Amino acid sequence: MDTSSDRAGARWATLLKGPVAVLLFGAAVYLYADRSIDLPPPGQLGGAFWPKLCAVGMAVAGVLKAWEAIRARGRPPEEGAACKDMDNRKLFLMILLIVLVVPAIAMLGFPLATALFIGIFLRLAGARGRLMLPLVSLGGTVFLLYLFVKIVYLPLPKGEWFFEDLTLALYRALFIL
Amino acid sequence: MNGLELFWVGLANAFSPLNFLMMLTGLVIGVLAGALPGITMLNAIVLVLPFTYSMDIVPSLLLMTAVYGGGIFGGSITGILFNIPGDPMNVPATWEGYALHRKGHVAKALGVAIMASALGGFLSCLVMTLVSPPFARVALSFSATEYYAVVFLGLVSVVVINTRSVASSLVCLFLGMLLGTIGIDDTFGSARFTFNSRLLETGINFTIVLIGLFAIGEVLEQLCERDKIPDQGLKERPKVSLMTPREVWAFKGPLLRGFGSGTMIGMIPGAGATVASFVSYGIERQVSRKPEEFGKGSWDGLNATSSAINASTGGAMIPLLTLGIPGSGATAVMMGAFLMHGIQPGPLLFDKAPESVYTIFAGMILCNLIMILAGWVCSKFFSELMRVPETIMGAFIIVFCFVGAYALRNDTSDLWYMAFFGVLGYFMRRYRLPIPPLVLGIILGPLAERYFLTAMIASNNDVSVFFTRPVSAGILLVSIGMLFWPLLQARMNRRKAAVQAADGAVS
Repeated sequence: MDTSSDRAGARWATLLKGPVAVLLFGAAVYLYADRSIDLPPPGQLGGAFWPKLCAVGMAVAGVLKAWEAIRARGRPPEEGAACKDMDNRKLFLMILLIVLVVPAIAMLGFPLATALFIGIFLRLAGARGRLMLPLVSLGGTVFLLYLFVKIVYLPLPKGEWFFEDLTLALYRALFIL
Repeated sequence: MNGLELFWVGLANAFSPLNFLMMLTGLVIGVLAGALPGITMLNAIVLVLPFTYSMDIVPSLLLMTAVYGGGIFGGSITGILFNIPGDPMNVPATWEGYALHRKGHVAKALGVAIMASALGGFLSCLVMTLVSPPFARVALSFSATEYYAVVFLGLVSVVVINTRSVASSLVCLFLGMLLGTIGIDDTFGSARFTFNSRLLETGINFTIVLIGLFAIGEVLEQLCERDKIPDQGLKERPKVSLMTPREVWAFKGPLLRGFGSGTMIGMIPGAGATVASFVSYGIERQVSRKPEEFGKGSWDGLNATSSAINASTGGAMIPLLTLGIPGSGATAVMMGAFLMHGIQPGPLLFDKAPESVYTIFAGMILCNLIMILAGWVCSKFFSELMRVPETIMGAFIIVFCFVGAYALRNDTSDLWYMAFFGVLGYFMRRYRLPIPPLVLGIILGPLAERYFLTAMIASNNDVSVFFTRPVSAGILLVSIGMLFWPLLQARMNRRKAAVQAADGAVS
């Protein structure tokens, strides 16, 4: 059974967990900077001075945040302060896609990775249509290739191994090279 | 010939077909390059440089100054439309412009950005023409202490950006400053927070941070909201609505303050448009009659910062033309163009080639007026993209962000930073942590460190140097005043309310 002191403790923990985390992070960064960065030349502040100053600033801001949280307890939340209700599954999959496209661009090359990314992203975002998805992903990729490779001369990643040859073949087919 | 006569000759030269064509071409290239993420204004100036080899110095300089002015403004277009600032200097315009867009004022926000930028640039070019030499002498006397004071003023504006929680702003500001220290330190060459990783040794480019935090976070928030039907894009043709003369008059205060701070800061070598945009935004927030609107779509904020960024271009040309000191990357490339043509910019330039100098002055003034047309046409073009459904727009915004990150150094490892900061941007929104202070910290933190340490080395670690030099002492006092003004204001308001309540109880 919950006692009132347990509930009060839980309330304080919720209130102060963020500020305490900031305070501890600041202290940890200070100690790490102090130990890992080269010693300063004699009579000078050295490379560790500024990060340590920022770490102290962060810890002080954490204390300020705690003070702000304690002062604001019991007050009704501000207008518009509530978080939006998010579709967490969709969000997780989109974040995963954004992370996975990074190695995909390096490995498969920009054209293939981008076409796949746009197609899957549109599907996840709720776009439908048998023709629309391939049309947008392939057409969009070709447009980007002309814009960045042909016009701006940006050497976009071509991929590795077989995929590099594939990208070069595509460039030739599109008269980009 | 006196100055006025030279100006008229310069104006006539600027209207010659080749010079006029160069200005028009430069503006269109500049605005488009500034608006496309990944192609910065500086990239565009470098790209047009080879085309100037076979030209005379005047059309070459007019082409480059037009790209410079147009490029600085161009980043505001994608900032207002898609929350993607083209360059760091467009960040404050993005905060206000995008908020105004979300409120349904996209046409007016674009129009205000165009007009305010053009007016700020126009007025600063007039100043450049009239008072270049004396102002340049003042700027030449500046040392690291004054530069530090100006950057400190920019950092202090963080307090006035977010009034909801000063502590949250400070946490994010210091986090941004810490992120800015990652990599090899400029002054002492020490490796900091690199964990023996090649990826971290080169440091974090702030353009990647700001594109990721603003754009990807926004896309995720818009598309992952539960039970929301994705927006199918605007049905009607989007418009760009320029300011009327009456509206310009109504916003004369923010426009003039933006122009003043932008020109002054632009003249300081190394400070540039980014510092000018943040400082003018902070000053405007302090003096505005509607400070509560800042961050939620403030016309005053958008006017001031748009005016300041282009006003800095006229200011930045002053030390280049009169002293031969390039104060930014863009003016350094222009200095290269001068040298390629065998001309050394500096005080002697006014004696040796006064007609050329005044043609550049007149051309820059004209450029800012033509920019209204070029900005309007390019904004209309980018506004058409608003008719594309939200899902398709979201996918392409993310791809553009990745291309933008890659284009900075042609290095795929920067894509990891983009993904990380994109996801971080989403979670900062979700947990209501303010993004602008983090961006401000990562942009201005390394500058503040460099100037602070240089001043300390020069003064044998004597901190009083910041208060013994009048200019830096003055700027620091203004900064401290800005820092404590919100607290004082709140205290005065509470006291006023208490007195009114007591009066009410007595009567």
